[in-house]
Amino acid sequence: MAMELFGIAMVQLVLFVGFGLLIGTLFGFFGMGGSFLVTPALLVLGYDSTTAVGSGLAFVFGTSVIAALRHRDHGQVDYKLGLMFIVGMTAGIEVGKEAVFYLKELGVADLVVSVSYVGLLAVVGLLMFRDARSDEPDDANDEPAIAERLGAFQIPPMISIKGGAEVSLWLTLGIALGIGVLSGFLGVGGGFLLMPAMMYVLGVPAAVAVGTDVFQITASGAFGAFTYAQSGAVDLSIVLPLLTGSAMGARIGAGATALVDEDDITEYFAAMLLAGSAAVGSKNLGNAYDVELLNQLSIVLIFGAALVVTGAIVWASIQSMQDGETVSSPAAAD
Amino acid sequence: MLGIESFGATGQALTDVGVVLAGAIVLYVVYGAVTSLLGGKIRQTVGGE
Repeated sequence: MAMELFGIAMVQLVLFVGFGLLIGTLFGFFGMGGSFLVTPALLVLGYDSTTAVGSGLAFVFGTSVIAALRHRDHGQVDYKLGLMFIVGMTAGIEVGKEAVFYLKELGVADLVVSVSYVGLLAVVGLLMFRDARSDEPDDANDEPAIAERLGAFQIPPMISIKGGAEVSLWLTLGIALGIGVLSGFLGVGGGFLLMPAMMYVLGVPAAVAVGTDVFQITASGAFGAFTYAQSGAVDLSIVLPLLTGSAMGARIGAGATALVDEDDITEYFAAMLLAGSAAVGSKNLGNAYDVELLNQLSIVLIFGAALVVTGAIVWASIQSMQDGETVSSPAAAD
Repeated sequence: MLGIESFGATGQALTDVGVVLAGAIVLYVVYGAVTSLLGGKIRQTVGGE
């Protein structure tokens, strides 16, 4: 019989704590929540889509609680804006969840969620690659064209927020609803979409956007986890070990931001997201054509890529410490 | 175990979310203490200071 701790098989415990450590380090370094690698990893390991999404959302909730505790003293949360996002995203998450369960009844939920992840990881990975390869210097005011067009809609009522900006109530609720649907459908926190939406479309100052993002993800993550848990789709034997590893990793990653230039690692990170996309695709092909080799390849791709990129961050940090160098990069948002 | 499970699915869901919340707070406190205790030592060891 396999050795167990608190009813969890030791192999699973070590695997998830280790993977959590990798994810926490990666996303602590890059300032993201890390959720959008957890659900695909669970899919690749053979969990059904509702457990993968539900447990992913519970993980989002746990990590955002820790991030919120670290941000609470900085006064960078706009509660009015956060509340609008919570209302919109809560409705969106419910719609996303209903869609997943409806697809499950049709018997295609695993396929649709997996294919959505193949697309999401590929698009985000390619955009990061393009960004890393671009010779142009980063420009905080370099708004995407779509953001400029959306931002032009000043639909009243307008609400004043911290930092002197004014945002449209309806535009804010619309953005929150859209990201909420994605969050409920894929089990992601949505921070990687919400941050640019807040800064570029609504004109929220960056510091307030980070604080408000963490605040609202805590609330919407709790709601998302609760709504999936009602259907028994949150597996604590997955969530707690992942959280244990990632909370430690987030501290290592955040510490590394002071030692390593993010631009040096961005291409590796983009490659890792593309490997994640290929892993989920490979898993589905493996299942469809009953090819065990493809299933094993998917596991090697997703965990191997995370290990290589985390190793690159830790290696660069150690080199930097030995050389006595530091870089002036902002603290990670978790 | 907590009695809340008797409320059915909602009670179980509240328990699950509560366990994640409690776990996150414990991890924040424990790792905060570990980081402040060991952070300087690790930097000294690796950096050769």
